[in-house]
Amino acid sequence: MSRHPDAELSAYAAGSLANDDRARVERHLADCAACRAAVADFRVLLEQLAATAPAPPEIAWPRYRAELGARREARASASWPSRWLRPLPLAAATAVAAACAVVLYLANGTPPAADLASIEYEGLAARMELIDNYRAVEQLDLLEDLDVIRNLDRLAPTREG
Amino acid sequence: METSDEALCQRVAGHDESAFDLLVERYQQRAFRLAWSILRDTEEARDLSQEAFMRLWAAAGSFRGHARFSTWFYRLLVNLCLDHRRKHRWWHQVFSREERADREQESPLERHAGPATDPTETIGRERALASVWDAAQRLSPQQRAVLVLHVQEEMAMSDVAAVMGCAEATARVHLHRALTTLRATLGKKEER
Repeated sequence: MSRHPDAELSAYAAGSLANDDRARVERHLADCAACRAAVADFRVLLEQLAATAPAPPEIAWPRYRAELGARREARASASWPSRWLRPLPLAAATAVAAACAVVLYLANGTPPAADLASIEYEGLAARMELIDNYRAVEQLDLLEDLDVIRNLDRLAPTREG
Repeated sequence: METSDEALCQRVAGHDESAFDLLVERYQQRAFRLAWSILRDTEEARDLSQEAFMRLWAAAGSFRGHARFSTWFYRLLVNLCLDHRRKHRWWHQVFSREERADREQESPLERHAGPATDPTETIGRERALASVWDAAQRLSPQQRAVLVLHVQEEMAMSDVAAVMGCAEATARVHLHRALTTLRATLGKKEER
């Protein structure tokens, strides 16, 4: 007896084999009761599946299309402002990084020289509440947080851990 | 004469809204039914079939006309559904387990098998038929998708393979594994 044509038995039962393959499977089936039984079961299963395919729930199609239209509009209008407003959180992060640099600089114990750079550092150091609110800044994402960035100094100092 | 899907898709590539609306009307029910048959969740099916139309609007230009529009669009939709299942597999597994637990909490009357000569034989047969698709819910998403496309959408295996983005032999293997699993599952049920 030839090797069982496993994967082809289902395709044979489904009637989707080409002529040559179908003839080869039929030659095998003539000698193999186990494969004949499998094909018979597959046919019953396919008939049951076709006859009892459950219908999906009813949908209000005008509403479906309205939702789709709203989605398209929302995506079209959301795409352009986010592109140019995206650098703002980056600016906040840069400010935090600069403030950290000041802290590290001061921690070294070297008094700042009275030059333009030190004036700039002093200015940054005066805004040290950024460091106090570092946890909040760290979690800021995009534009929906723009108001938070603007009002950082109003945040109550919430030190965790 | 009715404009072909392929011609409409070319017009959608040029952002023709009326062509898009026509394609949506033609395919909304088929898209939702296919997504629902794979996912078995109304909200997910609604969301992902709409997302497929969004992708159609954005990527109609990539339809080259080598296949039928329906095959190209179904592929887009089936990929979305399978990706979604892959991403939410852990959640779905937990949910399915809860669903199975709910089903197992049947009343004592339902738990005990009825007499062999059940007068409501018809009801029993209908239950058995319904359980074929219940059992199909436990197949892998790929196997279920192949089954749905071939049995429910009545697609030839060559088209099923095109939608699934695989060789026809691979699609046949998915079908065979699906039927073998169903045969084993339902056979075990009948033995009880």
